[in-house]
Amino acid sequence: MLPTNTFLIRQNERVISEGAFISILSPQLLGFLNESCFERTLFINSTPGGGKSTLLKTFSPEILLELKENHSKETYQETFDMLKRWNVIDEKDVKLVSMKIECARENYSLIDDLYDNGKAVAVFFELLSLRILRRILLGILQCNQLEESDLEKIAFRSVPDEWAVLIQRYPTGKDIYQWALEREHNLCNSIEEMNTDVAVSMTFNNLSVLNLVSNDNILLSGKPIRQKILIIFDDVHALSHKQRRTLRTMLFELRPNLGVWLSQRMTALSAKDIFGTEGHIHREYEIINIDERIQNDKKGFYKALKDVSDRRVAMTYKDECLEDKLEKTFSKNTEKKLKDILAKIKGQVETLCNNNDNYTNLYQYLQNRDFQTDWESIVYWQALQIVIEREKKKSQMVFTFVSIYSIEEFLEEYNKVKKLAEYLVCYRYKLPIYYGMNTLYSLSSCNVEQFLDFAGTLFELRIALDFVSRKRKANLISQEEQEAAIIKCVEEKWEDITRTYSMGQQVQKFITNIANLGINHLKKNTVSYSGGTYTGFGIRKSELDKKLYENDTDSLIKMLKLCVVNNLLSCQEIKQGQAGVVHKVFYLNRWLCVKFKLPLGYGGWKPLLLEDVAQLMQGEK
Amino acid sequence: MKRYWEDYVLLKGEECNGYFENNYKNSKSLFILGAGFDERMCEGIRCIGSAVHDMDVWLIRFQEAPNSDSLKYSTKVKDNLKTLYTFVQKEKVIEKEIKMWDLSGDLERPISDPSSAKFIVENLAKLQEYDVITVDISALPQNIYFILLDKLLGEYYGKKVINIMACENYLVDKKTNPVGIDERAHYFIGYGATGNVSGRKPVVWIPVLGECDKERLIKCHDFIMQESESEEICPLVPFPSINERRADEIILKFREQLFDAWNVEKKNIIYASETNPFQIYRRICETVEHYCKVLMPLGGPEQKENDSCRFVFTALTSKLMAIGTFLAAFNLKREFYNVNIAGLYNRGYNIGNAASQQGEAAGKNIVYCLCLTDDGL
Repeated sequence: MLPTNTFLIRQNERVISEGAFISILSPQLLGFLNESCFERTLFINSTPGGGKSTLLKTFSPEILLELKENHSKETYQETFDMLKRWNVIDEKDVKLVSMKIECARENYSLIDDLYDNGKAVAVFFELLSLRILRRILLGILQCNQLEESDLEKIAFRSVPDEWAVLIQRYPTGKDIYQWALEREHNLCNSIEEMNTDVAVSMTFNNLSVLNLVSNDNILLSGKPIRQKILIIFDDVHALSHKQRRTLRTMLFELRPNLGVWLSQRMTALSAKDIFGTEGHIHREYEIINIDERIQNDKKGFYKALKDVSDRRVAMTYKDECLEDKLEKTFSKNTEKKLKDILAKIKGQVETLCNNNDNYTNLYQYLQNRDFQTDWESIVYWQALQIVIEREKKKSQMVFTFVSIYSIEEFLEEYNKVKKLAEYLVCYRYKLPIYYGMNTLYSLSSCNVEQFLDFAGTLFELRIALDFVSRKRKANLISQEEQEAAIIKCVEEKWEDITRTYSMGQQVQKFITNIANLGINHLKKNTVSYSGGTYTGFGIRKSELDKKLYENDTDSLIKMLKLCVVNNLLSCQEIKQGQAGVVHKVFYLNRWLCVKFKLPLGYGGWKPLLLEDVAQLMQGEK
Repeated sequence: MKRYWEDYVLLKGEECNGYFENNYKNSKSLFILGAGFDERMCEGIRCIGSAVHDMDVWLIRFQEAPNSDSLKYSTKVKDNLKTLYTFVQKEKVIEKEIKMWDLSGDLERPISDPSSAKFIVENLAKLQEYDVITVDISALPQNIYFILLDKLLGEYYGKKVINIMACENYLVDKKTNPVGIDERAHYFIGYGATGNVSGRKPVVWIPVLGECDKERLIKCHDFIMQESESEEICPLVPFPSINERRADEIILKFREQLFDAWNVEKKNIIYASETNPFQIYRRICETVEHYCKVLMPLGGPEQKENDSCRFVFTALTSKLMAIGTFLAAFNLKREFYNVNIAGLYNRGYNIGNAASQQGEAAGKNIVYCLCLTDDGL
């Protein structure tokens, strides 16, 4: 039987055991948290696959208990140390009781659709309160490794006014738990049966339950519990607009003495929040935007991805990395083509240098230089071609004289354009472009799940190697095979767009037209951008802001939001050119660059006016 | 367990006309149908329209999502409406609207479940005046007709004659593909929508399979799996069927998920006729009873048989088979079994327009009518 492809395991799946979850968890992905996060109200935003579910699951009682019990295991050590630093766990105790409200699964928005205003809020808060109370009580038992009968040992130090009568009637944890369970059951039945006469209690009219279960207020056998409390609202975007607003207001007014995390997809944010100026101002609560954090620390993220990959490979193949099995050198077929390619590029450079003495020194230098391989030679010659073409274009544009490069200056320039030169050779002469670990890191576009998708397709080939390597000599995955697997995965994702989005075909058209900006530029052969060509476009921030405040329901704004929240485009703020001119740059997700054979490097984007961008939504360009 | 439809009346094609003429010719009748693009929309009323003299029609219009792919078929809807008015007088038709999407705020949210529930609850009193209620689901989405029928049967089963009509043409089903599928599945109102309060129980999932996307099946599976540690999967496939190889083709299509990924035992596969919803209903009920009996001892001495596990049904198939699934869920719920129905929202449909598909599907419409008259309750 073939081994399981561990890259296809998603960490939020229940199928994997707590042990497996911790083993494949890369603690570096949690690096943006700190100890104070567990005592505050925090919004955690990201695009799908950004790692929210993994983050939340890490703090569930099951995972924390497993970590505590087996903290000496090698694969647990790093995570354990990190959580210990945050005072979430130590060798003896789990020090955090977390509970989760699953807003999507538990379908709270239904309440808003079934009941009228006042009643809808009352039913919503009542159901939330009952669940929070019940799940916290169970969480305390779990973290202290107690039985359900021990609920009797739980009591409250002080009781908010709204709860006084209830707690007087049901003084122990067991009583109040039983009461809450029954009431929740009845309430759910009433909702499902559409019973409009459902009776709601004033006790829950606000979320005062958060004061009841706040830090230091819960007693176990007469003593305060050793744990802090964390309430997690997962998938807040699944609540209705009104519910989201009410919950936010309530939390702000209540300022509870415990940790409250609200995790949501960026889709819940307004276009103004995502693109506008106000979106970046931290309001009364803290916002962690996972995508933004990753964008700002790509190096750290790639390191974490390496860790993620190594941990998953290790579950099947000890002491091996995915990289070990990815062929780094060209196949024999490709090697054969290189001599021809070299001759062609040399010929092109020669033509460019004809009647132009400015580059004779560089031409002579490369002619006389000893290259170890044909490929090295090709890249140097291609780099020279890029330098000459750029200089020529510059001189045509501003009527200046062509710069004369010394050899040292050229070598310095070579380091800058090496990647671009490699890409251009592969692109123009149809050699494999997308292979190797660095490609996988770039392809992630700062999204863990996306990395797992692509790495998973290559790991599938790695597994297959064991079964075919007897027949063929090589035991590595060739560059061609890597590229073919990546392209297949890209094609599936492209097809998914029409299935997943209602405007699927329009989205594809928009993306294709953005990619065409880059393709057309490549055809012009000017290579005037560090990335080689455009892989995105930029809109002046002032122009976009104006549009947002005039009409944020405009179809272009809607399309941009749809693409950004679903991680098809990433949005960055870039200051370039004239002082003070800031652009919002929308880059294609890197897997879309593979679709259109564009380079994976960032850098090239085309400044456009809003009406030009609107044109991209129209027919094929 | 008491089965409501151990004996049943299932009519096909022209039989419907005779049956309605003989039994309900002078009864005060109501015919409910959806205003959709499906070419089968008017087939039901074409069959029985002339047989019943005193019949009102409720035409359910459902608002599509903005940018829904279905919007491009608005001409087909108009054509269907023209056809409808050739069978009934305009003044007999009362238009009702069900809101499918909440467009307030920045997020478009599917709300067809609560809207359908609200619609039927608000209109229950108006149904009092009718003796015979016929619901034609041919052009209604599952999110609407499951809830509509649940509330309707819940209120009037045994008190009024309730018929369900569906026009079957598996080739039309095959070329009508849902698009813009919601990211996660959900449970229908009345069948676990607010979450399962009663703790974790073993789950038995019965996906009733047809020619749906793999993606939909996987999404339903992932949703159900998330809250269950032990799960048994019993796929139900159409056999016998008009295309004798249909069951094989379906199993072949999903083999990777069913057998490689989820380790479904081959003996778990349930077979039932694609054209007999009562057989599907019966097969599902038998499966449920079997699992309850087998798993009961695991729950300890106080375990009730009907509470020993939880069942989730998913109808990713034709309307007729979906109705069989629904009837089983309805019956089991009324007999206090833990039953959930999971489904997926989508933002419209795409109809394959290959000429070969069009030609092949034409003329293969067959109207079925399930008469849910009650003698048992």
